[in-house]
Order: sequence, then C-alpha cells, then structure tokens
Amino acid sequence: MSDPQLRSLRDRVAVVGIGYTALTRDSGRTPLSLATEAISVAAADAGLPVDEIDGIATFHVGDSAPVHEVAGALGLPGMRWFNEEFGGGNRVGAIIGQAATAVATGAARTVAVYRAMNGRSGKRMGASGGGRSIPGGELQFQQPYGYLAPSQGYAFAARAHMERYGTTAEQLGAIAIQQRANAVDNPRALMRTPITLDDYLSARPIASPFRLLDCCLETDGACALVITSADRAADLRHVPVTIRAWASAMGPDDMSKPDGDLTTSNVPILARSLYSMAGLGPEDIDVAELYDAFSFSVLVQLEDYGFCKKGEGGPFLESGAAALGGTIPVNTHGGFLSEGYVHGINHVCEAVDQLRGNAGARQVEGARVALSTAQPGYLTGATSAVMLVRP
Amino acid sequence: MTDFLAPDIDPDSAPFWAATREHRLTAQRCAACARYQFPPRPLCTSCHQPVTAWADLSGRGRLASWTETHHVTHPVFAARIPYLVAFVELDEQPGLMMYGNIRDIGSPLRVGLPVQACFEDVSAETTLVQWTARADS
Repeated sequence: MSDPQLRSLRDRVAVVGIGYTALTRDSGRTPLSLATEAISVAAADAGLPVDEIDGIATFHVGDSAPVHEVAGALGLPGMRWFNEEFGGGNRVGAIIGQAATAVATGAARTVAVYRAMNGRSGKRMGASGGGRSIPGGELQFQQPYGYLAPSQGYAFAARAHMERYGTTAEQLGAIAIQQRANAVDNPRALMRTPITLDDYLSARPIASPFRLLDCCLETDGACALVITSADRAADLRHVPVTIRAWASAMGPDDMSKPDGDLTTSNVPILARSLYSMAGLGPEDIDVAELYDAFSFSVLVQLEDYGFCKKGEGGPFLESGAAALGGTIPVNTHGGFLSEGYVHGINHVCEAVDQLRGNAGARQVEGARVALSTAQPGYLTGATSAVMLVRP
Repeated sequence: MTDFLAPDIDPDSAPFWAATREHRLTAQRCAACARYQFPPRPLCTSCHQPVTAWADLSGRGRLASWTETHHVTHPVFAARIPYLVAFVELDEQPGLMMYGNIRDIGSPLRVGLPVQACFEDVSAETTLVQWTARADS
C-alpha cells in the first residue's frame, strides 16, 4: 500500500479487549487451554460474546497452540480470516497490523490475536529446547562453535556497542533494575522483589556481557487481544484504544550487515514507515513497551526509535529517563525481564492498560500515545511495531 | 576426540567444508562482479548472477565481537564452558563475516583485534574453522 493508503487506515481499528492467563513457570496445562482462556478473558474484557469472533491469528516458534485447534476449541465455526505465521518476537507488531488490515477491509469483523505457550515447562527457546528453531542453512556455521541460543546473538551486538560507545554493565543493569521496580506494582509479574546493582552484577554469567538478570523469563502462559472496528468499539465496555500505525521490516541478518556492524538494529528501517503512517514521532510517545528478550534490546531501541541519540542509550538509561516518572517510561509492567515472556502480546496488553488509564500504581499520567515493539531485527533481520492511541 | 556438534552440510555449503578438510578457508566469489560471499547462497546478493565459484581466503581477519558463554545450551558443550565464540570480519571484504571459537588468544579481547583462522580436525570427516591471535597483533 502507498503511504496515503496506509495513513487512511489510521485509527480505523481498535483494540477492545485484552486477556491474560496466569503467568507461571509450570502451568500444568496445554497451550490450547491457555489460549482459549486468554481469548475468553479478552472477549469478556471487551464485552463481546466469544462467538462474534470471526478472525483469529497467532505467530509461533517453539511451543504454540495452532489456530485451527483454538478456533475449534472455542466453538467458532465461521472463521472468515485467519493467519498462523512462523516467527518469534519479531512478528508481534506485524500480525496486529495484518489483523487491523483484515478488519479495516472487511475481511473480518472481530479478530482475536493470541500467543500461547509453555515456554518454560514445554518447549524452551534455544538449544535447551532441543535445537534452535530458526530453520535455514546458516546454522551450520554457528552451532558447531556452540552458538545456539538467542542470548549469544544479542551478546555479540551488546559487546560491539560497549566497545564502540563505552556502554557499561551498570547501564545495562539499569534496565533490569528499573523494570523490576515497575514489576513490584504489577500483580501479574513473575518477579516482584526489587533488585539492586549489586544483585545485578553478582548474578551468574550467561553469555558475556549478559548475566542472568539481563535475560528474559522463560514463561508458561497466554495473552490475547480482541480487535474490531473503531465504529464498533465506540459501543463497547472500555474507552477505545485505536491502532494508529504499524510497520514491519526485513533488513539484513546478523551476517549480512554493512561492515558487520551490529551496534545499530534494523529499527531505523522500520521507524521511518511507522512514524510516517502514524504522523507522529518519538517526541509524541508517552509510554514505550520495548521488546526486551535481553536488556540490550531496550538500550538499542531507545536509540534507534529516536528517543535519544545514537550511542547515548547507556547514559540515557542511567539518568532514569526510561523509568516511571522519566521522559519516556519503558516496560511499565516489568517487561519480559520481570513480568514474563509471552512473545510481545503482553507488551501490547500493557500498552492498552496504560492508555485506558487502568495501570494502577504503574500508570503513566495522561498517557495517550503508546509504542509497543517486536524484537529489533537481530538474528534473522525481521522486526515490527505498533503504535496505539487513546483518541 | 571429544564429542562435537557436526555441521549440517548441504549442497550449497559442501565446497566450504571440503576445503576446511584441506585446511583451506574459502568463500564464494562471484565470477561476474568479483564480490566475496559468505555464508554461501545460490545467487550473488549484489548482481544476482548464479554463484558457483569458490576462492581461497587469507584467513586474516579482525574481531568484530565476541561472547564468553557460561550457560550450557547443548550437552556437547557442557565440558567446555566457559568458551569464547568470535564474530570475525575477514580482511578480504568489509562485512564478510564468520563465526568460530577463539583459541589461544594470548591478549585481551577487543574489537579490531587481528586474528588468523586455524583448523581443528574434530573427526575423520569434519574440520572446524577456529580463530587465534595473529602474530602481528
């Protein structure tokens, strides 16, 4: 679509329901059961009967519940639109954009977007789960050397950034500490005990420069969104939160970057389209839920989405600018590092809660514009994001 | 020889792994535009001609990044932790990258550290490319 066509879709579609299961380390349930619960909760949150859902979508790598099983288990006989996309955390903004397009074009009326997995007790990411789950011939040049997990791929980027810009362990630690402080006020969060810099620095090493507290929490759980037209949303339970813009981009993978430079993610490629569709820029964003599989991912996104200058993410974080009360509060729910890892749908749910003004002690006062992102394009090169507003 | 994780060799990559058996480091090189390419791909990503030619490399490169891995992600590596994985930019062309382990580096790691490929025969069929400090570093 051209830019004017995309801009015509601004705020035409709304997120009207959000739903979570409990986030745990051992659910004792099937991903199917987690998915149907999250979607039912999201529909109830919207004030819509489940059987009004006529579109369904998920993305999957590792553990998942397939769309045909979930639609069947919910007794939904008439799916007019569905999508089950291969991919991990880089897909979350993209699939919401696809669902929004389906609703805006009339392909579906009401779409459930979910992610359900036993990410800890079931299939784990990385070779802990029995082999990396990204298909393709390039793994043969990585796995024999013991490069098997996403933590290592991000570690190369973090180390390169530290070497080039003087980014410190303490600055990466600020991310973990601030997000934990946010999670203290989040009853859903897996980890709610505050941590100190000493706790961070003394945590066991995983893949340098990452320590345990730089890494997301392998999580069992599901999250779901119910999406419908802004017109329909006006009659529903909550103040509508509209989908202002989305973007998806596939840039170079880690082995194909210009000059092998990992210090910049693929977000700059994406951000141009995102901000163009939104007619908004980083200065307009009140709250940012940034994909944080690893701490460094937050730092690089603060730079690459334009919240601070390139190379200044470390000092920016250390200043408290991304903490609650800062200029751009980040991961107000605690993020993957402290709430749990539901592949980014939980970030979108938190953004919706913030824009509804429902985030309790975590509330960013007067939040009207939120950014929720997918992984910034390391490893495979793909990334996406969505911007939500309370009109 | 200790246990190892064998590369999953395919028709595109077979020439590379055959050369490592002879302790030669190679990359694809486009006959039309002379660009080096790694990992191997069916077409030249620059001029889109089919690529079938391989060229020997000097084995000289510079450290672009590294990670010291402490967490066991596969049982094969349990006895080796912590181990260093390098991300190396080869001297032949900016952005021509390879991974490997760092062996006997003998100096503090830094981005830009000159490194040299070396070869590890892990079995009768398989030789891995590893990296060590270059004499002029």
